[in-house]
Amino acid sequence: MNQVIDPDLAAFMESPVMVVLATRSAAMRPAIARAVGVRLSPDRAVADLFVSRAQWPQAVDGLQPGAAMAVTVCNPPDYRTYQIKGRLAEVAPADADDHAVAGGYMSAVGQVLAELGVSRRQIASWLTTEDLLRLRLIPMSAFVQTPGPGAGAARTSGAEGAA
Amino acid sequence: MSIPLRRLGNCFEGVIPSIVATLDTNGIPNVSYLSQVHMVDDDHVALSNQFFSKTLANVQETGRASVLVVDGRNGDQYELDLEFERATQSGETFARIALHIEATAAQHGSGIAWGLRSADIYRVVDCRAVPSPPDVADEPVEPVRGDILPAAARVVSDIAAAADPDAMLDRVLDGLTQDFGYSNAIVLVMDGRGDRLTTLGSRGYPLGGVGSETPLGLGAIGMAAATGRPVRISDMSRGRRFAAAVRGDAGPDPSRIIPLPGLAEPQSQLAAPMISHAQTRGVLFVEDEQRFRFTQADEDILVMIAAQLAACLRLWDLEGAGGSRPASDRAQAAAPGPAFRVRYYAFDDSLFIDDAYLIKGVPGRLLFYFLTAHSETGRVDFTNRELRLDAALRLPDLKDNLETRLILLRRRLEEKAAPVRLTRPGRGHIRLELSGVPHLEVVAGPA
Repeated sequence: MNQVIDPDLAAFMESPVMVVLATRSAAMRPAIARAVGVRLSPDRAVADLFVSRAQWPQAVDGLQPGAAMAVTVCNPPDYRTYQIKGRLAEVAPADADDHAVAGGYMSAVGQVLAELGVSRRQIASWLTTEDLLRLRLIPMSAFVQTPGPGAGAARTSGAEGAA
Repeated sequence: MSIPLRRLGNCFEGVIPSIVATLDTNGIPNVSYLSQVHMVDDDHVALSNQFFSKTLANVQETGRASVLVVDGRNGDQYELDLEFERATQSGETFARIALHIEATAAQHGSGIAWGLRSADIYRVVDCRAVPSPPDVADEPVEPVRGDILPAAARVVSDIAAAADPDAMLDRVLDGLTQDFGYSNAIVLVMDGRGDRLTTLGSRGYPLGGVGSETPLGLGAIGMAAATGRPVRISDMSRGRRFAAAVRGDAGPDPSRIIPLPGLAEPQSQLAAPMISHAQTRGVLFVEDEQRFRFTQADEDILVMIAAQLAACLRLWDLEGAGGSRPASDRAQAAAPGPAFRVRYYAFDDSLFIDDAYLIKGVPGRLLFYFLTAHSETGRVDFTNRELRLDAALRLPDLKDNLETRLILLRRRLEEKAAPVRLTRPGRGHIRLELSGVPHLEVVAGPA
């Protein structure tokens, strides 16, 4: 029944794209983190994002189920970008399967970035699985956010507000 | 402890996109990429307001944003907590961002001018380093070049100490390539009409391109000249090469075009206006095939050297009363070499030697003047003063830039290995040297 994430968008989110997210921190400020990989449930109703708590404590410390979160996924070679907004269903330490997804993502996106001329040092600074968390998101709306005047349009009908 | 922004210089180059996050009044986050965060001072940044509308709406509601900026050299990340202060539609910061956006848009060849509505100024209430994984230390950092300030001081002093404008120009070109290690450099001067720039000299290209032209307002060079501000582009890989489009602009008559020197695949470009007495008199330009080649420090250095060169060239022209009479009135005996044909088109002052295009405009008119005087009287010695005073030259705009036109002409003759050359036996003097006998021909209208 969930039509927020269509199959194309799901495939895009699981491809080697850059994933950034924002939450409301414990200090009630916007806080930013990078995720190392996304995994959609088969029905696309749930998206798991993997985030290093060691690197992004402001964004993930104290996050509780029900918290609002925004995720932007961007394909570095062409800047195709979408934003997905939703609520957290669960926050848990990553298990072995999660680590496998994150590991696969990191090597794939590392290759994409390297081909674009990003150095190993830069890539290594952004991608880590240290103290990895699994953030389980229930997507509620999706927006086109490729840079340009069209940014902010709802990707799915019925989505409220602009990104 | 909040980190001072000036220590984050490499984060504001726009190499790695920044990220901005906001909350609406219900606490719902929004997260978006933005191409560049601009540093205003140690605790203020500016964000360009072009089209991130939800971010803007949230900031209007809450006055807050967070941005993540990334060091373009080593990948280090910093999160900045921001409080909105004001939107500005004018002033230094606005002009700098607007020019950057325009230059980048032009570079991408999109043809879309996403106008800058305002530059939004934020106070940085906190700046935190994002911890990098410990194994990052194993990866090499892009090498940082040594402090370039001592080299800048050397070059600037040498320009001031140079004996004549030719030496100044060579010192600048050598300085850019040798002292600073830039692979490709060009010095251009503004055309008398103020709508084009003409190449005075270059380094690093297969063809020197002396006398080649590029229009005002186009490309990094043209935009620096048009706005009087430096233009720096760090990554040209994202779109069509604008420089190529400029080079393809052959104009109405391709037979009178000298190709502008330029890299086929530039990634980084930096152009600084040569300003003196509140007027843009030319542009210093460097480019490179590497991305992120030029930093803020390179921009500062180029601005400094450009100003010094502009001031020294202008001073030379203003003091150019030297050589009030010709060094000698001696006539040169008929040159021993073979005859050559000089064809002069009065309508655009273009000059051809043995059917090969040499130059047009003021330098063309000057050379024709020398050759005519020589053919009538045998004279080979001339002075700057007589050139300024001679009504026949019709040179009202030469007061400020005679020297640069003479340099242009002299270097073009050398580059073409022409049978006529100019030398400078003393300050304010010009000597014609012929290795053949010129036969002059005047054409009134276009060929």
